[in-house]
Amino acid sequence: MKLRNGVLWVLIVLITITLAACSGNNAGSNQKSSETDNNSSAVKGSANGNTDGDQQSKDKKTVYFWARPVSNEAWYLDNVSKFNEQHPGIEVEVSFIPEDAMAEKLKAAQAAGIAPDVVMVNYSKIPERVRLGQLASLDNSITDEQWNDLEANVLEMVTVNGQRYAYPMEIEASAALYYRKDFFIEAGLDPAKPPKTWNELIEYARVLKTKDRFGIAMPANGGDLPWTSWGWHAMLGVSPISPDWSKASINTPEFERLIGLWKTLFEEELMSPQPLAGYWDPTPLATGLAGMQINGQWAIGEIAKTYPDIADEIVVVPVPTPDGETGVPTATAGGWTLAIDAMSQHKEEAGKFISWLLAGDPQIMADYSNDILKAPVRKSVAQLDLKYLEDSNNQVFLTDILPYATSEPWFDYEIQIAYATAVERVTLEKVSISKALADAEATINDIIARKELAGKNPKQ
Amino acid sequence: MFAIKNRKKFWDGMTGLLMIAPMTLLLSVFAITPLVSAIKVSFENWSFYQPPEFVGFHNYYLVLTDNRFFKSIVVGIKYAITVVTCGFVVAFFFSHVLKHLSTRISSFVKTSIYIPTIISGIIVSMIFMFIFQYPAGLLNTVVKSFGSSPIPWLANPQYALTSISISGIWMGFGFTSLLMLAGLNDIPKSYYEAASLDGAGFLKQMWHITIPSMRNTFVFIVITGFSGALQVFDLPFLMTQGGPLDRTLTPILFIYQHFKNDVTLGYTLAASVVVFIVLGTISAAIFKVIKSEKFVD
Repeated sequence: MKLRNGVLWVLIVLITITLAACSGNNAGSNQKSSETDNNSSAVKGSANGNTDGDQQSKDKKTVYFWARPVSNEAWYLDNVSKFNEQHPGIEVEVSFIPEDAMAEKLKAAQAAGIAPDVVMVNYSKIPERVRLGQLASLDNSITDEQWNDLEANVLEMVTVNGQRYAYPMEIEASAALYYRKDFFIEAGLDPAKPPKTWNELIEYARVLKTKDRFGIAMPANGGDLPWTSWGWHAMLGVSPISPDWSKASINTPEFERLIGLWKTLFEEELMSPQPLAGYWDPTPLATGLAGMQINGQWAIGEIAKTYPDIADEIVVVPVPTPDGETGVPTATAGGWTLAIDAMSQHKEEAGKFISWLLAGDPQIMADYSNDILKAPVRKSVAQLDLKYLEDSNNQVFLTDILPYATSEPWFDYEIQIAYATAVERVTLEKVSISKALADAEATINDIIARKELAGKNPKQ
Repeated sequence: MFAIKNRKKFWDGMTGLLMIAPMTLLLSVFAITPLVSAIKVSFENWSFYQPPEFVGFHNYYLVLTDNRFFKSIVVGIKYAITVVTCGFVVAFFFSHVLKHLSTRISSFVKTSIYIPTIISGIIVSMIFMFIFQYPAGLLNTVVKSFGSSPIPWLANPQYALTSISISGIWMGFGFTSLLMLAGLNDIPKSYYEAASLDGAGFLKQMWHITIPSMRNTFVFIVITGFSGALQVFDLPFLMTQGGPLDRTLTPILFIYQHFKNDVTLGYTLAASVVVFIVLGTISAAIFKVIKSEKFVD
């Protein structure tokens, strides 16, 4: 009898577990449902999502949107709510995903066939995702007038084979030279005369170097070098792989000169042999561990937030070019855009949402810029009263850096790792530059052959 | 009578089956199905939105001809050998010290040394990044006090893996010590008393009583330590990002880099399956070398 009771209990537990598992599955598989559901953990951001009765709710088409807020959740919720009110047939549901988890979570959702209808995509990921059929064209959702509100170089970044696949939300330059006026004065340099050539950069670093301070902080390890070098390559008009991805193009005098710059800075210990912080972090300059620092556009906000006491001492200028050339790229432009998932069942509705949010009333994106001090992407937004433009350092990005910035490249990341390895071999292993470049060339050609990359550039 | 016995046997069997059913169900859903699915996808080029293309062993060919993959396996093995061996020796001797401490002091020390185990790898990485900071970290302050130049511990190809291994040893030391202590306390005192009467000294007692009696504890520590160390991710990810020159690129970090950057999943999964086989082979080899036996009193 006791035995039977035991078996019965085990059965009850098993059934409970199975039922719980099944109900959990339902919640996960609803993402692509065409009707509004009630068991999603996402925020609906809608005033009428639960008030107008069952019939109206059933007629609505749900558009799922994964966002990556930076302490501006309210902007998303307010605008999604307004959109839902103005579009009775559409219900946008926004879910907030942390930035560092976005790529992994999206990949898992794509593999499971439950990717959201509206996705945030980085500029550099657009060509490959188009080649793999992951994005739907936005041409039918955005008018020519709305496209023309973008700068030509930005429009090019969202265009693949003549079609536009994403609308920009924000844009950031990957690199600028940051320095402190007080350090310049202390070292006898004129703060109004920043270095303009690579030789001047080295010379200034020598002058700024003290017993407790390095002349400059720059990316120096295999983690940061691959993705922070793109702007330097664009500045020289070179790429480690040929445009049709058929062969390596790294063993050139331009690359030799570029690695030579790192070699000099390393050998003279003008930069730290061990990174003083991650590339994104302005701490070395802010705390006086370095006299100058190469950092991205985001560092201005970071300094204002974390080191307000020295914010007034900071000056931002374009990264020096080899011989002081002007009007050339000194950085790449990255950042987020919104695009429609190719498997979305509501492409039209998703397109309407993107058009309304990013390309409609300029005040919406002006609020976005004011909330988190991001540079405006659209010309019409830049003409509004923006807090971002009050800081002269921010102006530098808009006038001197972003107009010339190129897109981050979209070729295989291992190619960029091969470049970073060449730099590290020269700086850490004291291998000659020509030998490091010859080896990198062989490595890249091997990657091209093994991964069959030749002729696969989506923009060729 | 016979029928009652048979019925009892039947219900015994049923109870056993039902008892293991929940775990079998959970293992099937969360371990076996994903593993089978991963093996299947490792033979395909699948980018989610286009039909998967069967490529046979091509992904395995790419993995097995990739120098970086082999380097990462070597780095993983070097790290595991360093962390397990050093951790093992230090914990073995420390557990002897613990055993002979008074109860109150022993409780305090046990709690203290266990703290690193419950701290996440992220916090451990942050702590050791402060210690290894260049040029003014804790360790370099000591180095400079002896009149030497500071050393870029995490950026020098010679020292980077050792530096990360030290953090790994620190993190696992408390857990290993407590396991060793439990194993030590399990050995009957009468063995040592008898050995003392026969004139055996400390070393002889250790060689003939302590070490053979703790064989199963050793097997557990070496197997779990080795497979855990081979799968280390957070320490190199945060402290060195796999550099300098891939000297700290562990197999899981290598797989993560491909998962993050590759547009198809095939290569990543093929590398995962190969690492799974390597881990299984190493664990089986350790089992074979240190034969686990039932301890007979």
